Amino acid sequence: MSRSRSSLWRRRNPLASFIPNLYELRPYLVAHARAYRIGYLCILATNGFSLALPWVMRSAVNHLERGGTGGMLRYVLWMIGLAAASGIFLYLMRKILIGVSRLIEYRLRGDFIDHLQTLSLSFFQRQKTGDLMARASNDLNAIRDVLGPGIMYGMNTVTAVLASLVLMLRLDPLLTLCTLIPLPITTFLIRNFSMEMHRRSRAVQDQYGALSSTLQEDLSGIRVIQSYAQEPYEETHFDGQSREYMRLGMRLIRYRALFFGTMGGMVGLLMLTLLWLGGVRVIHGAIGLGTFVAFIGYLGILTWPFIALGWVLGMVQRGEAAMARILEVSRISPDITDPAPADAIDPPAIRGEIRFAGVRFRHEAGGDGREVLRGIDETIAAGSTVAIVGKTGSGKSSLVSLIPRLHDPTAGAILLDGIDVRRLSLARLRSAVAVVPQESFLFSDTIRANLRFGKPDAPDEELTRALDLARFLRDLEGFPNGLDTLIGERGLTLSGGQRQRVALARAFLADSRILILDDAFSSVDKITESELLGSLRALQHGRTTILIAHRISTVREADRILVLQNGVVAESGTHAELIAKGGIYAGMERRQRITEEIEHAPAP
Amino acid sequence: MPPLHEDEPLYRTTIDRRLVTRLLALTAPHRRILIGSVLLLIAVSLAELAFPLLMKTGIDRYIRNHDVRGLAGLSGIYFALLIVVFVLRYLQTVLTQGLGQKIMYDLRARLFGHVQTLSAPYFERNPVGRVMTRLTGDVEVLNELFTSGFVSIFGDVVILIGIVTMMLVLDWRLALASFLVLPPLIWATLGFRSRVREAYTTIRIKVAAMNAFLQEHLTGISLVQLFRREGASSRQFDRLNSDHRDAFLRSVQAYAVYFPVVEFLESAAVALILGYGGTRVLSKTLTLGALVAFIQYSERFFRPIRDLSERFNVLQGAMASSERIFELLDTPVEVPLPAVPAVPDRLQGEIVLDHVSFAYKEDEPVLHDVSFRVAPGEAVAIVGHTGAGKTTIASLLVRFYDVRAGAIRVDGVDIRGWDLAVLRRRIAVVPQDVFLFSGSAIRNIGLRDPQTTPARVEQAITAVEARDFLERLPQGLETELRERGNLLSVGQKQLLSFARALAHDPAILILDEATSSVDSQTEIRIREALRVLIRGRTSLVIAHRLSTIRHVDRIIVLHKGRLVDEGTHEELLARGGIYAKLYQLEFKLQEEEEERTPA
Repeated sequence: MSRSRSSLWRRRNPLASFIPNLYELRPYLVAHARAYRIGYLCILATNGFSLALPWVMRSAVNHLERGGTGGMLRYVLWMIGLAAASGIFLYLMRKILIGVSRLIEYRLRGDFIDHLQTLSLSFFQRQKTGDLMARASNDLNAIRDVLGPGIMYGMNTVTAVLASLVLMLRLDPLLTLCTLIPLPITTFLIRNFSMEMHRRSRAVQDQYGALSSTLQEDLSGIRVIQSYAQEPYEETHFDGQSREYMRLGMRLIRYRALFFGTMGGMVGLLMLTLLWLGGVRVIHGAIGLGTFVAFIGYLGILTWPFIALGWVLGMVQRGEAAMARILEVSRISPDITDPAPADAIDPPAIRGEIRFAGVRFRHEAGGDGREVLRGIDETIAAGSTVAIVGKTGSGKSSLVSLIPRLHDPTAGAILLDGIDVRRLSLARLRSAVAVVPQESFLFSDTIRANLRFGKPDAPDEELTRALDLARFLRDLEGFPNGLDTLIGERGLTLSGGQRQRVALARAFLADSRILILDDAFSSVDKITESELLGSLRALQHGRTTILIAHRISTVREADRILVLQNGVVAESGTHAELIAKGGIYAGMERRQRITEEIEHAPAP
Repeated sequence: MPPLHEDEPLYRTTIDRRLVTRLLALTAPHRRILIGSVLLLIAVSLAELAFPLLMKTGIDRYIRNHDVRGLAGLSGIYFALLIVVFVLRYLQTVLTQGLGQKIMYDLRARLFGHVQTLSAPYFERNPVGRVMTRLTGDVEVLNELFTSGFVSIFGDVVILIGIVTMMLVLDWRLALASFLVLPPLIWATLGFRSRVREAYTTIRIKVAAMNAFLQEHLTGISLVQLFRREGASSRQFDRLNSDHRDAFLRSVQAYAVYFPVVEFLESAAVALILGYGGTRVLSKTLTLGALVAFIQYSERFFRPIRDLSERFNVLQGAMASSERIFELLDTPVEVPLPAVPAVPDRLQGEIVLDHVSFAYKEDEPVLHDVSFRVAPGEAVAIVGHTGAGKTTIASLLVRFYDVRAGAIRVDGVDIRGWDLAVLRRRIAVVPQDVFLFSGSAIRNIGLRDPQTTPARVEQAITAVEARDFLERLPQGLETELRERGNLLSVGQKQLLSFARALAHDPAILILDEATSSVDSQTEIRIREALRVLIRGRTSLVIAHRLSTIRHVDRIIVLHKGRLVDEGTHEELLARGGIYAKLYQLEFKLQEEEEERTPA
């Protein structure tokens, strides 16, 4: 829909200015318009039948007043029949209208997650995972409450009030006015009450948060506290927090008690008004006792809708705030996207030459705003193996993350076979690159599913071959369910080395032109490492391989070694050249040699 | 509902009598409040029973006899009773809920006090999140247990008995007739409850599964994107999401059936009363007012029956929470306190390790038969490769753990005989990783200790030469340090930690130097601060810096959990061996590298 049209809509519909955020849900509601329409018919029907009940009671009581014999059975049957009919439509009303909110919630959540997946890594580095999850659960729940009970009770209240007003006015206009006056006041009171109650319970919630973070901190820093014998003072502090929580809790409780007391009192006052005024009207002969009893019935029916209206207003308020938080995320457009069709290049084949041309990079948020890469100019020949070494924080991982465009450089460009990677489609680019990430992240799923991550249709033989190359086959034979073994939280816990080897197999299986190993051998022993390096050589055949590593043994055979320091390439060359140079790399090598000597020194 | 950890059960199936006894014992300090709220509950329930009766009197005695004045009087009574009920109900609610708040407060104080005495092994076994849940979510569940569990169940029963009695007294035959709807009501309620509970259990499982999936896929989003799995993971999430939706639709179905059934039964009860009662009115054996009162009573007994089954669920849910809470309270302290704690009055600062052995896990010894003495006022460095057991010695000295064999003596007294708080106040440990609390530098250095006055904190800041960089922070010394994370560099945090130790003026200092390299300027500051810090104190430094090992009186060399050498830097270097290698690796190479690093 074009912008101008949607703003026209906004102007025309008062809802758009009253609840602008929730109004964005319109397309979802329109998609379920039929359900809402049928639901509304059910509301009409159930109210129609249930509002007839007091009318029957009126006839019955009038019949009783006139005296006579028998004849009560037909009233009983009428009442049971009406109650049953009302019940059936009440059932349909709830099922349809509450059900539809669950369907929309499902769609909203799915769309939200789909959107998240298009956002780039920098977004996730800015945003806490917990916060996003809270949006996907708590906020969507609040919105669903508006779409389900909110809309249902809202429509029901309006219907019930209008219909019973018509009926009651026909019975006795004066009594109707007198008894109904308190009801809108009740709605107003509930709205105000619930706003204040919301404020007070927010205060309780905030204090609960403060209490929790005091606790969190105390438990995380328990060693400092214990080693400085600070327990008594922490206890005093916690006691203060806990006492404040109790105080705020009592403040809420008193208010809530007042609220529910007032609600009960209002209903009582209604009955009192009826008893007194209605009684006088009966005595004066203005109405019959039957009408009096029918009024008892109507007031009973009307009480809940008015109470519900107050809750609905509160629900809408919360839903509006929740929707704002959802929109905050869903309005972010992904910053790493496919190239515009005019810029796109789709080369027939990718050889795997990578060139960093004046690459500079700085993380947008988080970190200290320091430039991580400060001018990298390097070419990695197609089919060669290049190792990158350097201290933690020297920019190794950032450098390789630019190749598959997890990030884009702040300046300069990365060229793949001479083509700026930003001009390739993301699917094309990323399918040319396989990465074994530093933390060798695996998903809580079967080994098979994890391996197939990069190649969904790979047959078992291929999986086995990849596992063999990654030296995991012997481990696998120890697992009772083989490839179907569940790993992760709900399954088998793999050791760091095992995880690295599975991640390696996953990358092998993807069979890409470019293989990036980000410190992928850190948790495997020396012997396995040399076997894995052998596998890598076997796989090489024209593949470009980039190895980030700490151990000299991992990198010494590489065609070229880059030493990264403070975001620039400080040294580069083959192992022999760098050793001869006697610089940073040579220092690293010496250090590792002595470490080994110490580790192998026997304990006395 | 508190977040559940996977290994924790959702419900206990039975209501354990032993647990209930222990729970009720929690009310003991507030017995008067409990009795008061129960009495008020009975009073308010009885008072509410009077309203239908007043309606009956109004109809029978005044309306039908055309007595306007009498009706006005009755309305006055009705109004007065409304006020009375309002006040009683208010007091009762405040009292009952207040009881819950007081019990929560007591319980939290007890739990917190206890948790603080627990030692390091407990915190290694139990992640912070889990311990927090005990003190937050689980305690809240117990609150619910007291407020809407015990007291309300009692209240519902009182109301039910009252209504049934009133109806039987008014007209027992009509009462029995209206009780006809009770069996189907109870049957429907029980069926509904079990179905809803089933649905909610499924929902909770699905919610947990969705959260786990999201957590994992948002954390591993880069992999999803790298392997172009967005579509596949969308479909995978869709399965969980639709399972969740379907489970919810089942609960919607249960509610959609239950509410109409209850409403129908309510109307059916009214119809029964009207039919049978009406016949009785016609035969003049029942008044019209009594009929109306009956209808009102019958409306009132639906709610407590509906609520009761809900309350039993609360009770059951609370059993699991209370069991977890009591389990924490019953966790023994692993570092036992001496029966008669020794408080040596003048601290010399002598440390003796006497054939100390220690292992975190039974079969993996960390320290093996280590003995050495540090004389009062002496500065000793411990060096050794990773895993030599250096940091363990620091933990043993302040009794985070107890030795497995041998003994550690401070001033000739076994530390297991010391008053633990006094011992820890006299020994300051400066750990490798500096833990920052939220709050300013002042708060972080002084902690919450009233003895570390702001003046002393400021003195310490000046002494370690941290003043200039702290004052350069956005709000100077008052800057919130934790919120923004990276305000301080590693070296600056070290200095802060030094100031923390200095402000608490310990007799013995144990310093675990950070391994990470810092810029040369900070390096100089740390060196100077260290000199200030160890002046006049017995010091044990786990050394990672060349300057440190050059300035201490003596060096102890640990290798694979054993003491292998001892002496001054020059002596040890002359002897060669492991020290010479360690020296090259940890100190000399490091220094060379730092010289190369452009500042």
